[in-house]
Amino acid sequence: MPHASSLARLDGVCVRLGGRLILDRVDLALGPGDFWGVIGPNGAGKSTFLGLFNGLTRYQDGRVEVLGRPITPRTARAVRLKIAHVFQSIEIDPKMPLTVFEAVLAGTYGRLGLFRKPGDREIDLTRSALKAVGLAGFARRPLGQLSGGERQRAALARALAQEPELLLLDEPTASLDWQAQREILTLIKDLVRQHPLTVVMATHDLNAVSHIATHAAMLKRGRLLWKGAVRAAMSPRLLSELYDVPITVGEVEGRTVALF
Amino acid sequence: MESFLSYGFLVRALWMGVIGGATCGAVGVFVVLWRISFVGVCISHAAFAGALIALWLGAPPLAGGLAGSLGAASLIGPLADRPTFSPDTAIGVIFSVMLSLAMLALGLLPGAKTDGLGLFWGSLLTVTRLDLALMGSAGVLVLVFLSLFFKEIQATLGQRQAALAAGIPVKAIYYATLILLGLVVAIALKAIGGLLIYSLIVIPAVAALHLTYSLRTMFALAALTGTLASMVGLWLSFCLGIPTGAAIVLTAVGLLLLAVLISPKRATR
Repeated sequence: MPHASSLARLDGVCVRLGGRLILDRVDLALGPGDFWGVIGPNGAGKSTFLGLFNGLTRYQDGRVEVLGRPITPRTARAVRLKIAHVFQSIEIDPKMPLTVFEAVLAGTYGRLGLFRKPGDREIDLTRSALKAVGLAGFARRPLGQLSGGERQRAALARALAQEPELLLLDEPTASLDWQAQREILTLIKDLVRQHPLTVVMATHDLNAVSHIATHAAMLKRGRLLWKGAVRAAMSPRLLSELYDVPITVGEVEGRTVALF
Repeated sequence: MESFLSYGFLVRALWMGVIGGATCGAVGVFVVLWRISFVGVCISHAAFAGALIALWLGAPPLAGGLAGSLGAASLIGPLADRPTFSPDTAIGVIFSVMLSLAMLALGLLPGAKTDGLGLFWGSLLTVTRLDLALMGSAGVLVLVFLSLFFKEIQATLGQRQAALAAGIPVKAIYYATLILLGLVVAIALKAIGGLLIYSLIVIPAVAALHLTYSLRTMFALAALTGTLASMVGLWLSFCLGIPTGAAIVLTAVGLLLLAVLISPKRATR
């Protein structure tokens, strides 16, 4: 499974929080252009797992290497500049003095560095990112006045403006209605097609994984239960073992779907 | 107004109101937008308790105020920065402890407690040139901080985790802000008073939040509201013979109500 030239790799990584083992000897290698879907029950350690790639999660044992550099508290900041992280949509005060354009422009600030003002390049990147996610007409709107789906589009635009090599998506469709979920997933699929991105997406949506991911990693109680090609992951036996409930897998209009 | 300005101490008080009101208003923007009221309350009251304890020990109240506010910033800052931290219960405990320490120090003060009581209500009319110079320096520091790190401050609004993940030094900005807040509180304490200083930090910023969607304008409006409240409050205090700190804060509340009434954001959900 490990690629000859991995974009990122985890070797025997253990994470403990407050004496509790959150991740237990996790190994994974991401190849350039891979789209990994990370699935597992609540509390399996998916968000913690995602944070390993940009140093938001501190690990105690093992080794994490991203873009050719080991991730440690000292190196994490430099690596973060090339990794975008989209979090679950959260409510933002509608009065917040921040426009959509300013929020997306902020995606360029990490690479720009301290004491430097955004110039034409950053403004162009922001405009392109807003156009790519279909928010070009929303630039002057206050961020807090967007719907949940629109806010996630803005978060994706911010991630694109960062020009990342690795995109981390932490439950990007959680707490969105079905229409918004579908729009966001379609958007992610389009963005990955148009940009040379490697993606790791933590999600509860098995069908989203089968729809857009190339690989799947199954986490259960902090351990990597299974990893491999997404087609092989859509197995009733594996999914039932992962979630401890009977899950069936079928085909609907050419798409593989999981049902519980 | 002419008779008002003919008194040197009133002119100094006015300057203190202008500079202190603007500086407190500007740092209040952080407290309001980052929703760290808990930290603001604790820092303010720690400065208050520190100043009173210093007074009891015979040390300069400013030194005690600084020790209290900066100590609180370094202790409570990391606590409030934890994602699992819930300020609801901690605020009750820490607020009560700080206020009790202040009361205890006041009770232990020998003789007339004029200086101690002055720290409760504030005494804008006893402002010295040194106080003015210190407040001015704190104001300049806040201005420099804002101009150097404006884009990083903006990047953290409503998307703190995303900013951290993108390599923006969120924690450094956060702690630098807490230190600035501690400094401003400790220096303004003598003029505004321990019980009211927090109000002058938060109310102008809340008023400004109601009036604009631009962060730059919000800082300017908060500073302006703080200044206006201080000037009008001082003048009212002079004309009506009422306590200065209370007049300033009540004026600020009046300006807040006005901001809410004319707010272009009233229609938003």
